[in-house]
Amino acid sequence: MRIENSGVSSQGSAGNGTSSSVKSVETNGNGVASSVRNGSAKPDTGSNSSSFTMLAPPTPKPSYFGHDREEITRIAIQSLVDLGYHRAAAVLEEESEYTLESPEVSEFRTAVLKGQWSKAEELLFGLEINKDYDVNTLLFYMRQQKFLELLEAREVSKALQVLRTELTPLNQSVEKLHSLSSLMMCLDAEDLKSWAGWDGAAGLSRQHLLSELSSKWTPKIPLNVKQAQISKCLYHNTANSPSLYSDHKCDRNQFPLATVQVLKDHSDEVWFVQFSNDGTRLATSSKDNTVIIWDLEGFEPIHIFKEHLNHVTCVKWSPDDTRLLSCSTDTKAKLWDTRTGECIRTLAAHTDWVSSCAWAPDGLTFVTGSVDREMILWDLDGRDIHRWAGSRIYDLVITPDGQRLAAICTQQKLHVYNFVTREKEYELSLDCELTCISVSKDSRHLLINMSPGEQEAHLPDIETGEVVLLDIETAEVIRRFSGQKQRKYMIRNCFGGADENFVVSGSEDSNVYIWHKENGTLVETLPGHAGMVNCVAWNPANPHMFASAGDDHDVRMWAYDFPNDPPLPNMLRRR
Amino acid sequence: MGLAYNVYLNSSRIYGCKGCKTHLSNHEDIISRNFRGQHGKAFLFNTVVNIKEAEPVERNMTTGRHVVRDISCKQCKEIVGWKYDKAYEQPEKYKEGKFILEAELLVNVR
Ligand SMILES: [Zn+2]
Repeated sequence: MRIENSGVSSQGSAGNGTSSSVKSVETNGNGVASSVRNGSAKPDTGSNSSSFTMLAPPTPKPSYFGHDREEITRIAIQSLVDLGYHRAAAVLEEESEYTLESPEVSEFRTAVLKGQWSKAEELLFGLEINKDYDVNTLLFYMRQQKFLELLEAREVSKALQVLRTELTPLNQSVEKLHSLSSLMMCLDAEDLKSWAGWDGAAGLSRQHLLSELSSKWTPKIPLNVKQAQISKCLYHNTANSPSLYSDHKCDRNQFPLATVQVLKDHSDEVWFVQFSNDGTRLATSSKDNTVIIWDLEGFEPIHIFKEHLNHVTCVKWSPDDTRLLSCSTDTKAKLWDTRTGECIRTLAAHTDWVSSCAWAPDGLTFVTGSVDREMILWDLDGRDIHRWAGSRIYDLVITPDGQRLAAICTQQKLHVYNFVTREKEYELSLDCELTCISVSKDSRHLLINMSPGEQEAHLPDIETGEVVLLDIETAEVIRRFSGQKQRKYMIRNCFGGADENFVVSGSEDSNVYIWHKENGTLVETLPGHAGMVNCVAWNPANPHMFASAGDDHDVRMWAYDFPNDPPLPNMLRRR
Repeated sequence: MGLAYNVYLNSSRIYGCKGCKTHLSNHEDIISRNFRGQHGKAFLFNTVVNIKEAEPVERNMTTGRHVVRDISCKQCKEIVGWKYDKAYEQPEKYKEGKFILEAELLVNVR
């Protein structure tokens, strides 16, 4: 029903009440206005040209339990598409006047539904296709449909031509090609449909083709909703996806905020700490020239490595946990057998402090970095396979997918290399002292600690450092986390929690800093150490446990405190 | 106090501590070569790095009375020279805030 508007906007509180031209009112997607943000609403198709006419009811449509109406509707449409309910999605699009797609996608969809194959192929190249998919795979789906439709129409020679000149060159599975060519033997359209399990051009087959194709380019909005929920949950520490049906919240009481054990066997500052990949052991290295491997059942030392002649800067477990690498200011790196405690090799090619090391994901090679301006790639026999020269290295990582080597140097730069070709991809000046680099499990992000450095004496002291999250592919800074205090010491960071939802750093003010990775909030500053916190590490097998290493000679084990639950060792066994 | 690296210089000619190779100053930072220390020849430098300064003391030198402090290598603690805090004679004032390193205790490093 249409009603005459008296000339006073009835948009209520839409904030544009003085306007007499209702058509220009912008609402927050609440329905009736013809101009909706994103420009995604279909144009007002009403026949009225009078600006004083509008659709009933005159009041804005209510929000949906406080959620944006447009957002909810789009999620519903997207979900229907993802579930394969294309007709329902189209009906909802029509009724709500929100469309999900860009004009390009819309046009493509129409071309496919009408069987305009050459147009569809042309449009396909204009779409943003998920880079995990090969365009040829998508082309194959489309040409297969075209081939079947030609057979259905009994245009056998044309079909054969498509098979030979369009399908075969796409280099998809030979088996598929064989089964397609065998369909040429079918006697008629009905025979074809039953052999191919395909319901024909007039059936749902084009719809099925579309859902197959559309999964390759449309963003999965429901996942974004989950991400939004996680970013609102401060203590989110579970790998399970939160339900869409309820507001999601993890309890602070289940977050590792309590020191449950203090490891005291080092006799000087502890500089580095790392969990074994299976989460059952811990390696720590110290200014006291030793490395200790701890058993996390009883928190007792299993091995103490005493062969280094000076401070031990860094330790790293091999991917299978059978080996440990250690780096020292005695200019040597050492490779240890973590079962027997024997030193298997001493790597003596560096001429200055060895600052850092990292394993290749296959465990067959590793890289050491030094302030002598070299990074060296070694094999397990201690042969030096390759050298990257030029920069004095403070810290380095190899991405878990084995594709890249990233290092930070004394000249405030990040250097990223292709680890396969060993060529440099890029370097980036960050204009701050860099003290630590970590990489995310998905190999996409780097976490770098930045210190303002030592200032000239007459300037006010700035001590607050920053941890930056960087996209390794684009070298763009995604987020900055600030608060930790650092000026001249190698303060380290790590990702933490299930799904790496947290960013953690040591600090010169003796606290551990924990931020929420998605929204950047400082979640906790945890006191406990009596001196600088040099290094932090999260247990890769138990999201409820992490460790910190301090100048106070202590290693603190953090977990959550639960008075009525079983004692700690049992909790550690729970995965 | 945590793991701290030495400062690394990046010029083409770097002087380091003879004992432990820690970087101390750049060749370009030499103001004068016309000095003598306990071990013979010494240079006056504009800036030095990786040193620890001792307490100031008054010392009579061939060029007059000065307030100076010994400087030692941060890494190996060896005394490598001194710093001028104050010169009493007007012509010597240019040395204030500058550093002497003894040539005998230096080595070229990269
Ligand atoms: Zn020295």
